[in-house]
Amino acid sequence: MFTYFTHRVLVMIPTLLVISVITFIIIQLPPGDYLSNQMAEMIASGDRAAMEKLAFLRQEFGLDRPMLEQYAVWLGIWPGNNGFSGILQGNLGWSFEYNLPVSEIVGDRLFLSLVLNFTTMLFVYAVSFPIGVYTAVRQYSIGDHAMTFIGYIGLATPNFLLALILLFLAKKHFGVSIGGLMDEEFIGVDMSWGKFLSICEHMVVPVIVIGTSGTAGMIRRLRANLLDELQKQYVTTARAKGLKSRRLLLKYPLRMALNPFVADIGNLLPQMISGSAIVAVVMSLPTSGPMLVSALQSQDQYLAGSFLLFLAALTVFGMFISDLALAALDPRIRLGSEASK
Amino acid sequence: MKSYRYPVKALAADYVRSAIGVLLPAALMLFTDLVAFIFYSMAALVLLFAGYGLRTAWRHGTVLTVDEDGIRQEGPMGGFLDREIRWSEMRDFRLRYYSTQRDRKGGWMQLILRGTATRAPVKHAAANPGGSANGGVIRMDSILPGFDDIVRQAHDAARRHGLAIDANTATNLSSLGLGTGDPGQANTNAKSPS
Repeated sequence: MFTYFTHRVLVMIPTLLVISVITFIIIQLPPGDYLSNQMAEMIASGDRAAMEKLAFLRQEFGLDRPMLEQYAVWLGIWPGNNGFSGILQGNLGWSFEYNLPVSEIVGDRLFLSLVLNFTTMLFVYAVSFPIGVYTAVRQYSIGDHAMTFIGYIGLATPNFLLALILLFLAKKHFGVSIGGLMDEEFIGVDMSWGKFLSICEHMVVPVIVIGTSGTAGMIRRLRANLLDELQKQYVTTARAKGLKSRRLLLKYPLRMALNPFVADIGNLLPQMISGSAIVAVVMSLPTSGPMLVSALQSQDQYLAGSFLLFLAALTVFGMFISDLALAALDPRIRLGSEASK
Repeated sequence: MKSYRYPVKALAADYVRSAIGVLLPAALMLFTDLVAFIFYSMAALVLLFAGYGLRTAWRHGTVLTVDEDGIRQEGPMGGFLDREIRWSEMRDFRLRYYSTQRDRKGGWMQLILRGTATRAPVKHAAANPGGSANGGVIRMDSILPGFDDIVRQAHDAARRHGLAIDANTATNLSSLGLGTGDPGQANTNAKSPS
């Protein structure tokens, strides 16, 4: 396992580097940049000094340099105007739209995005695991049919529609204010017990909305996997030898059925992140999604790049955890593949 | 009695991995001014890959000897980490398969043997009296020439002594042409490891 762990860590390094390159290329792809767009407006309005100002600002922010050099400076592996001052040094760049360092703008949003996605993931697993096991063990029971029905509704309902319905119900029956991840009085205030409770209260609806489709999918997968295992010969043999049902279930079939369940962490993360961006717009959540959309539209390259890099890194890390868990749980060769000797 | 050791060619890739894993983060730590979180992450990477390099060097100098009585591992550290497991005292036998590729191809296997009682090889008996201090686990990877032979002998011993073979091991054994691959086989007619 130690060998696997180190190999897997080593794979992550070039993966993150390639992601950072792709991220930088994507944010550079549209013609022009934020400054040239702004200057075009100033020239059109008759500002004669605009060209000089443009040249000065482009030099100041390093936008006149070759793309490769801009990338290296942005990452922090090549000295810029202020020496080494890139992402590796904690400098995420300058937001032209907000006229502030990116780190000052994204701090809370990235944190809230992380908390929201992590909580959603816990929700998905906490709900789908017991239901998946129950529906497989009690196949074709009333409970199984009811859960299956709810699961299909969860899969078929668009997130934004579910968000609107739940927002309405939460406001009407529980008095939770619509939108946002905390009450207005806590916005911009340091973390406190009251703010924490407010965040928890406001997170219930987004977590359910973002997690519902994932939960439904997970229930279906776990149920199908477990049913496959329960019908195998070794389960019949163990039953015939008098092994108790619960012990039999926990010791072998459930372990084998868990493999795809664990492997899905890697697929679940990107789905949740992209899903949460749409939900965040509908529910006015102060997470990274709406700001990322706005930054991409305005070509605020460092702001957009920081978000994309963070979300990609989160996904890579999720895949890493998923692969480690799977390697620990299921270190088997697949039929048709061969171990290199 | 037959002896096995990891050849340099088989370990070259591990040495390269270790060097890359140490040098890249170390260079970033030395030549750029990293933010604290990234600095400590890089330091952890340096430690991890330095440990990996040491483990590779240790493997480089390790000799595995197999005979009809058991398996013996003798490393370059003067008795420390040396182990011996008699087939009759083996209480756990596992064969694992790992791959970093999503399609699970191009991976490697790892054989893990655990004994109920371990003894240091005779020549190191004074340095390791009783031989139980090292935990009694012998691990080896499939890059070791003769790995299949060792697996076969260990599997024969496991069958002779009625050891339970888990589902993962059974599947991996079947890919080497050993056993039936039935996860229930050993569990239904063999004693479990305590």
